[in-house]
Amino acid sequence: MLPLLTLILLLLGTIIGSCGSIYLKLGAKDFNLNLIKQIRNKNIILGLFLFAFSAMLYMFLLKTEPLSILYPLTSLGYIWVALFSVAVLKEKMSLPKWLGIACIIVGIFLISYFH
Amino acid sequence: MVNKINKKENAAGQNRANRINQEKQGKLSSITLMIVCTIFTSLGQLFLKFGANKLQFSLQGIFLNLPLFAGIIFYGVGAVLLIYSLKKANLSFIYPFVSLSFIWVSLLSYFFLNESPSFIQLLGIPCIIIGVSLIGGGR
Repeated sequence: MLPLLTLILLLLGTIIGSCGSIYLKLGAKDFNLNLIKQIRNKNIILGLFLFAFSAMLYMFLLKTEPLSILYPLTSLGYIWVALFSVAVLKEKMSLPKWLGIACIIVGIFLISYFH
Repeated sequence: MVNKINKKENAAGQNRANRINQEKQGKLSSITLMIVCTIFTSLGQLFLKFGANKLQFSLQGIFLNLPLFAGIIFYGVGAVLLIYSLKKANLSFIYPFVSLSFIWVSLLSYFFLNESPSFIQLLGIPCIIIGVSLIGGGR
């Protein structure tokens, strides 16, 4: 099994990155190519900041863990984004999407438990 | 009279055929773009790993880390290609191709990093690919 610290940092990193995606989505409705004005778009700035932070965590993990293991595990982020989209953005989930989440959980279990 | 109507119908049919053809070509080119995009992002991952191996948490250590910058540039090119391929095709249609990157990264880390995950771990990758395709491609 992967070290506990790695798993915790991975959870934290993917959750932070997913929050970044949600904030980018919230900011996207006020987005245009007038990039200077976008400095006032708090949602976009916060989203980018969260993205950068999760990228830093990812680099930190990449220092010790093999790429072939760590990269598939980042698909945890898809699960958080789906859940946050339902909770925050009130988007609808369908059966195929729930099945997709189940498949990803199985895949992540296989990769991290049997390490 | 009949001839005219026939001609009009013919023209309309031609138009429709043209449009369908164009849509097909649009889809094809966006798939190609998407595949190139996944190759770029996977190369980006490889270089990020090279960069992470010699990463030092100091200003100098980060700014003199060439593989890290190479990784970021590959990633940036991948992102631009993704946006272009999304211009022509629906997200739900194109998204399953995103998970190709899981295959490329596995291959790249086998050949360039000498990593060899166990068989059970490799089974996890198709699960994730199916899962990501279902989430991105589902309605």
